Amino acid sequence: MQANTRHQVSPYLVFFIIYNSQVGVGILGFQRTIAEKAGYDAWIGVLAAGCLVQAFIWVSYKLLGKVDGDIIDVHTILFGNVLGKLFSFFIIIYYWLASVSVLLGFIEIVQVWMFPTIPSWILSSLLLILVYYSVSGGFRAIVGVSFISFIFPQLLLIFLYIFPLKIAHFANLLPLMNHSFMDMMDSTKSSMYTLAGTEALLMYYPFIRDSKASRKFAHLGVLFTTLLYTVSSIVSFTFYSEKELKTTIWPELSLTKIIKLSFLERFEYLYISMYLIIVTSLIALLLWCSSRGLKKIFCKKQKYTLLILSLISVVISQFIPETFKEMLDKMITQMNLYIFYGYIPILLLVITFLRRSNQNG
Amino acid sequence: MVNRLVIWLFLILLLSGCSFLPTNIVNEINMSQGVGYDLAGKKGIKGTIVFPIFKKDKSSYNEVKTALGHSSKEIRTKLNNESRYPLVSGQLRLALYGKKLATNGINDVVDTLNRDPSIGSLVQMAVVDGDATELLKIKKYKLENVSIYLQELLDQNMQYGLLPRTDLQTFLFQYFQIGQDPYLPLLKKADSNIRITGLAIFKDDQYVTSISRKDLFIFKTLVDKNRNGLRQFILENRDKVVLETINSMTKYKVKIVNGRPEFSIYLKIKAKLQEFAPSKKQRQTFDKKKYQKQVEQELEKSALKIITHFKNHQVDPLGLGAKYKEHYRGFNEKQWKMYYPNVKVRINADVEIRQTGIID
Amino acid sequence: MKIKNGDKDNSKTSHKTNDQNWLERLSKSNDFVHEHTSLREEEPFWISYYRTLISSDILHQDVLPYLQEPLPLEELKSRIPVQEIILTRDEEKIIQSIMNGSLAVQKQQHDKECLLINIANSKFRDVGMPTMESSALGPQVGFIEELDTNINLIRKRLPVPELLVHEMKVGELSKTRVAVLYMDGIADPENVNTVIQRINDIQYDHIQDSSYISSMIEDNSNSLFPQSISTERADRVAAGLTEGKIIIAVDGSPNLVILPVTLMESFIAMEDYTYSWIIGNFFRLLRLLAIFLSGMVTPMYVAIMTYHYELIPARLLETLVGSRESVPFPPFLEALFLELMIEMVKEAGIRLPLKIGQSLGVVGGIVIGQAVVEAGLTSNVLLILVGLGTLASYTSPIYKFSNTIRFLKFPTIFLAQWFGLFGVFLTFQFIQVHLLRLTSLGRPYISQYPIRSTSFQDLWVRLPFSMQKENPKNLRSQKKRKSTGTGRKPEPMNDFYE
Repeated sequence: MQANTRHQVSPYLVFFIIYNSQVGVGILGFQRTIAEKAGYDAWIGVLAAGCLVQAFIWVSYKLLGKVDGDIIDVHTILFGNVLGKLFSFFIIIYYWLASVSVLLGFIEIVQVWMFPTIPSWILSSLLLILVYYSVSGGFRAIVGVSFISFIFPQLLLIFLYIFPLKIAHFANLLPLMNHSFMDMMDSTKSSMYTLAGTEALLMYYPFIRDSKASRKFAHLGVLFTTLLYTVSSIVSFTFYSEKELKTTIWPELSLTKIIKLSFLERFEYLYISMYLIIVTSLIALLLWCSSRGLKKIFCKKQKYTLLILSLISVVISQFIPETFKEMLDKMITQMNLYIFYGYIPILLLVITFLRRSNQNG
Repeated sequence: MVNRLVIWLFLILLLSGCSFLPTNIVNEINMSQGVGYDLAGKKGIKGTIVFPIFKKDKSSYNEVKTALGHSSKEIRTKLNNESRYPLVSGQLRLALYGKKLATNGINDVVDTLNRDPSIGSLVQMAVVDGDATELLKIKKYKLENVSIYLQELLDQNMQYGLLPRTDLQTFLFQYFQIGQDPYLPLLKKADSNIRITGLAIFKDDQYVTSISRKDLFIFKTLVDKNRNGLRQFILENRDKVVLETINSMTKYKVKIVNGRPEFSIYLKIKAKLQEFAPSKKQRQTFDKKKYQKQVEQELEKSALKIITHFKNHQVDPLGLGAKYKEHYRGFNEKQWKMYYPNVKVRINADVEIRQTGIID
Repeated sequence: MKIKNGDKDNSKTSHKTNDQNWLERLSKSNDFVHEHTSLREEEPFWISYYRTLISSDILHQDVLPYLQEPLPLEELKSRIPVQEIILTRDEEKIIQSIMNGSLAVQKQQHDKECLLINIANSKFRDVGMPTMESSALGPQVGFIEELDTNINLIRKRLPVPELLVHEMKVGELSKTRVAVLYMDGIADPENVNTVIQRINDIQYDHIQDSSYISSMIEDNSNSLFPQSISTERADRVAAGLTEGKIIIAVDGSPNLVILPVTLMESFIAMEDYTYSWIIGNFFRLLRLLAIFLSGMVTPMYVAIMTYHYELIPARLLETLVGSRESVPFPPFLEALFLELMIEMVKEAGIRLPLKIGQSLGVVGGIVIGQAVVEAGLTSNVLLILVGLGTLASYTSPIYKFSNTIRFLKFPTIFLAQWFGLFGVFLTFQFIQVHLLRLTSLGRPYISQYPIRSTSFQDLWVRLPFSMQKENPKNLRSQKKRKSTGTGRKPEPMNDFYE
């Protein structure tokens, strides 16, 4: 069930795919949500969430390694053609909803910060045309985009963090561990939304050459993003006072306001525009997963499934009410938790059990 | 073929839809660079907006306009009625608040600075002892771009002078920080000049008291890691010693005694001698050890003086409460407010005169 | 596999069945000569040749004197002091040889048997200087419009039998000689096959230049980016060959085509290798920066001036706004106007006769620019930026690439007008995705992905020769290393190392 070797990518590139799939619009605003209950101890919650994601990577590699295919193959093997495809359909819908959530989040940022009057459908069409162009280049092109979305923003991030760190109040983080276990759990749960995205692995696993060797790169990728998120939350925590952070919707973007160079200042405009690179590559990956899934389920050409998904996304971005977005985010967090941290491990147990009994019988 | 046609039509539609985005072409907007707010009547605000008019041959000048209103954006809308191009606030560099308005609280007018995405967080803020409008309208600065002038005046004094670092970002930080009150520079119109006269201390968003220029040195030492700063000490025997800081470090230590916090502040200053005039009117070698001791005492005295002053006014610009909170898990804001007026603070200054210039 | 230097494809297009005698077919052209060598009809020989292809000196001095007595053709073959003489009855071969400058000798006018004496005009043009890819240092040898000379130049640089030349005839009417050059044992045979296959598949009436071939065999002919490098420098071609690249040389074109290439190679000048590696790198990275700026500066100006005035620092504000104070157009039109003007000056400068062109370049660039600013139609800041951007685009040693960059400016300016900075980055990302999808001979075109260790030996930067040991991996060269030495030099002689 491995993909054609011509379409496969080297194992080390998994690092970049993982990075790309995890970093979306979440990083611009997660500092506020995680600090809601756990206060300035929330960065520990990020680390904890990172560990959970590592565990998830381990589970998915075990699971996919057993069937040597993607999640749809797992489902077909376990539940047969019809029921398996039904289950896969839910996961595919998750990918698509996640892409819509990222799209809506980015559109909101562009509208609030740059062009308050621009209609949503124009922005979403522009982004999705770009996404369509990347996805139609095949998986290799998507990995390339992921790679680029890693390189460019890293250069900017270094810049971004140097300025606030110059005036950081590290004492803000004190006293450490001043919140209850439940509060910490809450921050971990909120971090899961921003750290979500590794699930895409369940779809692109067959496209990795020598996929078993790629596991260490996947773990490294998660480690990198976890550290990135931790650093990012610490930078925000030391820059804002706690009550101030709670009033700031996009702490990371507001941070960039203090960057000042002799030829350019107010980097947030540049930053948001550059963020387009990250956002389109993430949406491209997610839409690739969902359109490929639909292609496999309904045996239609990926061209059509992708077009349909994009068109629905454009329509949704234009016509949904404001409350839907919050609901969507909440729903994705829930779905992410239940599907990938509840269902998938169970699936692994089931398949291990079945294989063992098969061998015995 | 039809497919392709549809795509092109869609693209054309898409792109034509966007030329409706409102543009801000730089020479077709009036960029307000400075604003000033004063109290007018009981609840009204008198707002002043300064924006430059640029000319090609560098004969640019400032336009200063004033209007009454209830909110800053209402004032902007009113002033739009009398300006050639629409007023925009993305280039704002300076926000001044009249003392009277500041006494009533500036949160209402600061809110828009915080909320408007087009306003940066490096805006300089200051309280004007008197009328902000008057200050901005000084004739002398008509051709000089008063907003940039003032912004750089403040910047310069924060970097090389005695002012502690403040701007919109620090103000918001301190305003929202539990156990700390914000402070802003205090400006005054003196004859036809603008002068920094001290520091305005806020309680939440209300101006409460100020500290004079004399005390700025010790205040800056207490709150900032300052590089520069000149301070003259006139010692008990009328010896005059002028020191310039090379490097200073401040450490706050919190101890809980009987459930109440006690603070010890350690000042560590490395300085160089800039001027020395012994009272005997006779050239003498500078005795480092002796004067270090005396200067330390002088510093401790003045530090205690301003802290007592703060305690009397129930304001906490040093952020003692925040420090208490950092070191004590059972922090309770109400309780802290009760303790504060009687809280014990010890100052421990350690001055090291590193250099005496090129003579001794 | 190996490709023999055979000619099985040479006559592919001339298979037209004809009932006509070759003589009749060739006599249609005016420069074809068919005459008898003496007055008596039945005595000596009939000769036929193209007046324009042969050297009349050789004909009159070395050949004609022998054609006075009636001898059998075999006898004649051994007598005439010309190297290349063939006796044949094959019509195709006869036509081909005559087309290549041979003289055909027959006993009777309609004899099948024919003696072909090669007296082609071999007076080659002088080797020229590289005009479009000039350099201050390094060899100053450029290719010319003659295939044989060009191959000769390459062979002089790589005198090894591994350098193979595979010659073909392309073009229904032009019958242009196209040679594919590659190093046997280094170049990936798959690449060689692809190139030969694609050239064989070309169905077109005429080939006037190597660019015809390169654009016909490109992977994506809709792309703005050149997926092959066309060069007139012998050193670039020789260096490429040793790394496993494939060269296409076309008769009549001074530009040779190098395949496959990556994007970064458009930033490499052969001059880089003549400097110390540190200085060479500085210039290489400078070119990268220049090209990036060239594409971005004007659109950024349009975006910031139209939408994002917040980005301008206070001290720059007066300069920027003041310079635009009296300009009646929006920044978009202003920028478009200036960019088009510069392009027009450039275009006219190339088309105009040499002497006028030189003076126009100066007039157009300076006088019109100054006048436009003084008239208040554009701001002088923009004039500087546009001038700088155009200048910067020419830092790329590959002419086609700098054209691409300057062309790309226009859509970017449009998007900058529509969406500000957002639009600028939209085009930026679009170009990146396009580059990612692009391939040159099936190899990824963009060189930053996937990352390979060899791109840091001699692509992005150029390490000292002692550290450039491998051939670029993306070419799949059969020869992996270009240096087998350790590269270690004896320690410098001074007291410290004793």
